[in-house]
Amino acid sequence: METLKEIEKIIGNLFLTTNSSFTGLYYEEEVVFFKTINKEKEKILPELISLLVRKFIKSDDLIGSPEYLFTEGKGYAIFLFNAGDNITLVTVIEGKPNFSLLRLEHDKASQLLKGLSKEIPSILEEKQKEEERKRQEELKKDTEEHTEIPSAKTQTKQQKDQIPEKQEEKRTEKQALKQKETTEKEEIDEDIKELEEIFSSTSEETIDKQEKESIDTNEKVQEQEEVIEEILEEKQQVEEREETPSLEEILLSDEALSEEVNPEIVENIRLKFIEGIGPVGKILFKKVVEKVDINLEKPYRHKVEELIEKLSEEITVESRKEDFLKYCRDLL
Amino acid sequence: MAYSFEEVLQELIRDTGAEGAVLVSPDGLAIASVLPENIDEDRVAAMGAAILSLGERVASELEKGELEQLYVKGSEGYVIFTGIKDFAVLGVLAPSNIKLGLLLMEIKKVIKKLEQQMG
Repeated sequence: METLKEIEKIIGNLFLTTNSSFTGLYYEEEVVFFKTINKEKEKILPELISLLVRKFIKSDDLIGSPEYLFTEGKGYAIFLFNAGDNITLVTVIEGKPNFSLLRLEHDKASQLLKGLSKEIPSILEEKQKEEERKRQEELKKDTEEHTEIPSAKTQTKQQKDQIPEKQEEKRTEKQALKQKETTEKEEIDEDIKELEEIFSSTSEETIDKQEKESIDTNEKVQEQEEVIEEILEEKQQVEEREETPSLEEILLSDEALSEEVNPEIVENIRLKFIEGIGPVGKILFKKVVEKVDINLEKPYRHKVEELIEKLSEEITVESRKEDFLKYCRDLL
Repeated sequence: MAYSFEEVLQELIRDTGAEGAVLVSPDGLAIASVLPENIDEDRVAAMGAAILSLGERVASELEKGELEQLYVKGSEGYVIFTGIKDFAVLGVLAPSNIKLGLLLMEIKKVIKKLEQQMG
């Protein structure tokens, strides 16, 4: 930490004394620390310069070990200085460069860096780890944004917000269904009444009269009988509908019957999964959670079991998969 | 034409004490060269083309114009590349004890000559 501060101080000083737009310290071809006024080019500029540094380091076959590289165009110059121990100092000047001053200041800075050079590789290693961590986080963020997976908290909040709306919808649906059933029932009752009247009137007539009636009348009766059968069938269906609960009711009752699991168990499952599969496990876990549609704050046992099964499918190493499943079984 | 280029390069070496010189096309191929026997002209040309193109990439990122001159100092000497408009690049190899200021001035003169020759 102290070394890094010292490096920052040396580079900062070089940045000021040379009046540069970019000053950086490279170990081999990797940038360790840099300062620039081109904030919008903070990413691309060090990377491009690293290519130049690589070529500079490798130019030893023609003129021996490289000491410095100076290049200039209209209104700018780039200066690379070999500070020894695989360290290269780079300065970009936007304006008229003073080559002698550049050499002098870089020489001074390289003298100051001599005592710190041994610690520079470890600083670079730490920096690369930090960058990797950031990259993973960005990747995670990107994945979340692209797959539009809301976070557990947001999801729960959204679900909570949706509950009153859903309840209202269900209530309205139930009312509409009841009304429909009542109307149907009334219509059927009316039909039956009418038919009973017809039958009763028919039964009051004498057999002689009936015989006198044309075959058409018999046919009519037959037709009416068929209609009655249909109506009775409809009535039976309505009665059955009254008795059979709706699919939603069944699901709700199943969920109600399902045992609730401590959310901490799911968190432990998540951690074990990440341990088994590596950092990418965080992203996969979220995807599987979304697939299984499990409420992480109020998980039901059957959902947790489904989650475990789906997660285990993602673990390719058999021994780890078994270990994960055993751990989850013990937890439950 | 090749002979006259070589003549200019010979003159530069004689006047400055440089070890060799090479005229390279923008795509990195040698047009003419006067180099010590142990140095391959393609090696110098390739080195120049690679470093110049990288330098130009940095320049274009900074929204600046083309590189005019580039020199690399090594423990055994210098290699100096100077652009001749869009036509070519002049590469000069010089020992480490050379008077750099003098060499750069002579290179400027030669560039003017070469520009005239190339039209």
